[in-house]
Amino acid sequence: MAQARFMLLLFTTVVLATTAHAQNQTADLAGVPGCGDPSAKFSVNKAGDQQPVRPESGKALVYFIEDDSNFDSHPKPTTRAGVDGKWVGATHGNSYFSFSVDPGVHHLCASWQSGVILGTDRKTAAAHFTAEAGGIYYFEAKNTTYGTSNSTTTDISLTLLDSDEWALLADQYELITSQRKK
Amino acid sequence: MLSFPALAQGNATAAARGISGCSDRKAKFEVKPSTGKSPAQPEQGKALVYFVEEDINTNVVTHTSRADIDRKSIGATDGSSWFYFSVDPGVHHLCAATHFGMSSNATAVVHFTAEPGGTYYFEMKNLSWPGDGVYDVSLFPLDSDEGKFLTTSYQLVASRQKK
Repeated sequence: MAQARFMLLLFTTVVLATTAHAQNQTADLAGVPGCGDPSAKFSVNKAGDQQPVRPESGKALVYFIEDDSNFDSHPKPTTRAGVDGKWVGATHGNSYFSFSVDPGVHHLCASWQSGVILGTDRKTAAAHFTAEAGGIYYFEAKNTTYGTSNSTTTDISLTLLDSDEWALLADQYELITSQRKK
Repeated sequence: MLSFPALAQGNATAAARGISGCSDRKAKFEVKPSTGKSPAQPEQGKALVYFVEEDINTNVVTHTSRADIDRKSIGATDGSSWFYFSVDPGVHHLCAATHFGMSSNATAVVHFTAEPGGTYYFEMKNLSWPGDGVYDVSLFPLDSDEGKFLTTSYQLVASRQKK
């Protein structure tokens, strides 16, 4: 009897937690024009070395970089990258990938696809930029844990990185590929 | 993990004095949730400024943060919340100050040039853990996408200066 009660309590807790997380995700992405479907999930794998160094003709090249250097929670978050309302891929840990965009104004989004063990305040960040044909843009999604010996919390930011800064840091990051889960 | 250097009250006050938009008068505000909405566009010939507080440590009691512009108190937030105000075109000095109790304050400043019809978002990120003696705030301009996201996520507040 006691075991049955425990299992019911466990089931209820898991269902409530899952529902709350799904609701939080939907609410978290409201008003962010760059983000895609809140329920989308990606699997992330290491890639080879084949990386475009020049934009396609008439296009701009965007690097999406996840920086977890100051993120101490495990597992690291898988961070989805969105452009103009569609996900274009994801990163995990200190990693990056690139994609092409047409010239013009674009809205970017970086959003964790799931929570981490530590309490999370922010799981989404946004930015916009104007792409020029032939341009290369480096955007850094920086995941951070803040805290003292007694308290810890997490944060995410999305900022344009200077190309010199990326040249300095690139060796510390892993090129990845990602696939949307069905 | 980033740990916080304790920001001594004296240093923060000295840094904010004289060079910034901080008011000399330590005005106190009463802050309440507002049911209003942000304006669709700035008033004619003016610029619109959003002041957004993001309280990273949501697990502790919130504290009121005062916003001053050009040495005049303009309003306040309490925890992750926001309000807006109009300014004339030109250079403005913005100041954010959080009062944590008897003797602890954290202050941050920034300046910007407002253009007529412009909309500007500023975030005051509150990274303080008063229970651990950590008092730290930063103030910086936000990308408009990020600003719209935060003002969608957080509570619009109205504040009234206490007499």
